[in-house]
Amino acid sequence: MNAFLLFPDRDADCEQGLPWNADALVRDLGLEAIMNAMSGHDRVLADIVPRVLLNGLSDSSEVLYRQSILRDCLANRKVVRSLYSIAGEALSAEGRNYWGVRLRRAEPIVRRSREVLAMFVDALEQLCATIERSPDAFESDGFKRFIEMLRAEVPASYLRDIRDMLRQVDFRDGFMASAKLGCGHFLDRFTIRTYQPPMFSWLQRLFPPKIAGYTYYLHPRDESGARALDNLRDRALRDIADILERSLIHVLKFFSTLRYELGFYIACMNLHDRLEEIGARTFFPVPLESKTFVLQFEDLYDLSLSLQTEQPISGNTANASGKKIIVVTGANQGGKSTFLRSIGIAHLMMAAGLFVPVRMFRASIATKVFTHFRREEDRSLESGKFDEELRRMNEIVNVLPPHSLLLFNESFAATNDREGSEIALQIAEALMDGDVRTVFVTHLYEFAHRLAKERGSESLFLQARRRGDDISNFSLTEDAPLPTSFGEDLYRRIFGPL
Amino acid sequence: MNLPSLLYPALSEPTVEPRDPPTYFYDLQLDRILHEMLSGHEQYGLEPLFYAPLTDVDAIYYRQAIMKDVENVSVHELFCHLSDNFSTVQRHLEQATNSSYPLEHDRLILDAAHVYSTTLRHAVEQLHVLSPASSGLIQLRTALAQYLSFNDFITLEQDAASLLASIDALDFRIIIGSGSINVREGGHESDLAGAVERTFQRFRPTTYPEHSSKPPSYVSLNHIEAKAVENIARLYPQPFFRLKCFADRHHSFFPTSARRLTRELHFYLACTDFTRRLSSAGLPTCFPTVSASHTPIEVKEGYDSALACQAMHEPFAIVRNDWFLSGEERMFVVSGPNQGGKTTFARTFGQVNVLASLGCRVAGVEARTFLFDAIYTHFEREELPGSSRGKLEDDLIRIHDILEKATSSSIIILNELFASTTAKDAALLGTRILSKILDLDAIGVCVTFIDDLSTLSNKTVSLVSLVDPTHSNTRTFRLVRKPADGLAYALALAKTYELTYDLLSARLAGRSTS
Repeated sequence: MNAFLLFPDRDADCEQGLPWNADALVRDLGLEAIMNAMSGHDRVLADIVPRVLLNGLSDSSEVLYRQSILRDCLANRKVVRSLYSIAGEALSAEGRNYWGVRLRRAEPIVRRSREVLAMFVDALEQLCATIERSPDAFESDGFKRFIEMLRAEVPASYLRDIRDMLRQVDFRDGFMASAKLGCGHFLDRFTIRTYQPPMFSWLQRLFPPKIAGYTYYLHPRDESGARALDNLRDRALRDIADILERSLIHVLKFFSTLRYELGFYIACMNLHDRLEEIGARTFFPVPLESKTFVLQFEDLYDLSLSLQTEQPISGNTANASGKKIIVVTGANQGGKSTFLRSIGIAHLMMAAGLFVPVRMFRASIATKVFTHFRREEDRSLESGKFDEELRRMNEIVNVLPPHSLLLFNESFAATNDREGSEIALQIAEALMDGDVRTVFVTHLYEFAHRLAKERGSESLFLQARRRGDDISNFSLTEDAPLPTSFGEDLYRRIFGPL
Repeated sequence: MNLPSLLYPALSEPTVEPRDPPTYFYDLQLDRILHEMLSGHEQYGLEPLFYAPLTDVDAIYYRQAIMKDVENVSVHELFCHLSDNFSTVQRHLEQATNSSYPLEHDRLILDAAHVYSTTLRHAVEQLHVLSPASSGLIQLRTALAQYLSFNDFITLEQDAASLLASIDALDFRIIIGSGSINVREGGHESDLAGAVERTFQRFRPTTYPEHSSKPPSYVSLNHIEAKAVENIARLYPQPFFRLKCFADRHHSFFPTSARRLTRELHFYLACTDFTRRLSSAGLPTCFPTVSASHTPIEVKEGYDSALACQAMHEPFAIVRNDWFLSGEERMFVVSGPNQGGKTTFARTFGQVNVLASLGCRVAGVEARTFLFDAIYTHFEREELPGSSRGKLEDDLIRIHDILEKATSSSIIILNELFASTTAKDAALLGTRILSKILDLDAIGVCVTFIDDLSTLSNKTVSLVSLVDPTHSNTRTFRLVRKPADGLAYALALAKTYELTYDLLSARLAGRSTS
């Protein structure tokens, strides 16, 4: 029994951690604002969002699978939100129940499992009822499968069976087990058998009928004997307690996976609502297999910036299909970093199955996204800084799968231009030849220049230009790299004319 | 049962084992290696075996051959099985003696006898199937096979098996109420636990690690359990009568030679486990060729096993070194910057030779070691507070003692000779002492800051330790016969991180194939 709402053929892994470079991604791409808009004030969502967003898919059919489920969710917001809250309420009730009993003894486990399982049976009933109220509203493969699964696996008769079963698993008046004599005649290999403890009338209590076999009655004042009997009872019930607890864990897992999977779509809906308020445009992107080198977009903007400034902002348009590297040079504050972030965000969102902040987006899925941004806070010696940059690069390469996207922001500039360019070029070329896509924002003129000369056909060069003095107004145009970066401009603007 | 020793070839077993570690033990940090090696094997008192290096090449190869056999996974398993089960037998017999319930006592004798007989039967079968190559294990197999053919053993084995089977076949029910235990013969009551499991089957994920709580293991019966067992015996009197007869007949079947065998098994288990842990940390080991002639001595990719023990717990890179002595060469003279791994090399050299003489594997991919009569080490020691002698005087006295005892078959390791005196004095004394050792024709290592010592004669080999400039804070070092050239800084740095075009391309290419 699986919901399969995030993946067509498997459960979401609720225990999945963040990728090791998650902190870098969040900081470099400014993901905090996006993730906040997605999770709102829901702490459960705040836990789900980064893990699904940053552990993207690498298969285009899986991306499309999520896209169509998300479309369904956007069309049936009320139903989806109530499914999410049924799962959430059942789980939080389980949590309350759990903290009451923390003993590892078999009897309390049996008792607690009975109670909690009964609660989940009710929740299952509610899920089915909610779905059946509007069964034809869903069109995606994912939701259709989910509905059919519920119908097949949880018919009314099954709910009755479970409730019957839970009534039998009540051992307060005694129980029967088969057992074996193990090492030292220690009783083990217990199996609980179906057994109805006899109910004696008042007359039978006075003159008990003959009982089969031999019975040992504990002396009422034999305290160590009472403990020993407790211990024996615990051992006899251990196995069935395990089975019940395991069943509970499995049912729990179904519900927590369901909440996790639905939660992600709830978060996507939250973001969508927010962007509608702002009036920012979104687009369900066209994902292509990661082996292709396609990247084409119109009006791609920095979603994070848009959410922070609470207004739609203008974006960039380019076609980098067939290129393995995009090199961005040009004016400071010309929107280079903003552009770099928007590329990273769009790839992450697409791979997670989300819509993308763009008018049109068609791209190869990046197996993984990595950022290598110059760390401004490292104010140590230049040599230590350069060493730190190479160390970080080395860490990335250690885990870099083919067809990943690697974003460089002012990397390898901590040494002189000549040395930095040499290193940058060697790394960039090796990455290109190793089928890794890169976007390189750089001031290293020699690097850009040599790359244009030697690998021009595989590279796209973009120039950042300022448009007037409005800092949010910048654009990138396709052009060969220029030797300066308008630093002089900036100097003049801040310090006045020379 | 008369069993051959697995530690010494016939007739060469020493009568006494040393109680205390030799003096070089701490200098070479063999105590740390031993501590790591013996973890999990503490209760067998194996330490003394490591205090006495063998002085006979045949005895070393006798152990190496057994060790090679034990490195076969199946033989290793067999050793574990034998030793685990022998301790189970011993435990059962002790419990039987302490039991206050006759039914429990009798059953424990039966359990012990059953474990004992099946274990030995299994061991001999396995030793035939696995056909070990070592003479030690072949002799063990012969001795065991003979023992198993004795009538006494066969009766024990058969009685135990049939009796256990009939007790296990008893199909009874227990009804536990509040304050009572009823025992009766079984009927057709259906399995409730199975039914519950089937009901919730559909929630079970396809891949889920099944965990069950560990059933409480048997310690001894309490009086409630004893009563229940008594009642079961009343239900089925016949098998319990047979049990009593069995216990009366076989109560002393466990020979003392089995206990000695357990300890010997653990010597090999400890060594092979250690090898395995090293190899999973990426550190190679090998069986050395041991020879009584001075040269050639050679180790390829040797490393400090004590550091390796540390690296197993908190991984860090361990640099390996090659070294050799050939022809007339007798002595490594090691110089170079501090923190460059000079002391580490001195220790490593000693460790390799000691471990080789114990019949163990040594660090490295290939090794030829020297069969020494004794090892003498002189490592920096803290000044004894009560000593009236100065440090220099103390050093000289210790070295004098060493030179008195050492022979041409000894290994002498001198670390930081005369570090406490002036350079001029140190050079003078160092030269004299080293000349004496070279005259003696002993093998050794001399770590020093005095460059002149490295060119004292054609018997000395100069090694220089180099600190990798980018890893100066880690414990990596390389020893070379001459210093290497530097590289331009940025590219050298890129090279150390394997980020130049060639290195990076190779890494990326390796990634897609693996």
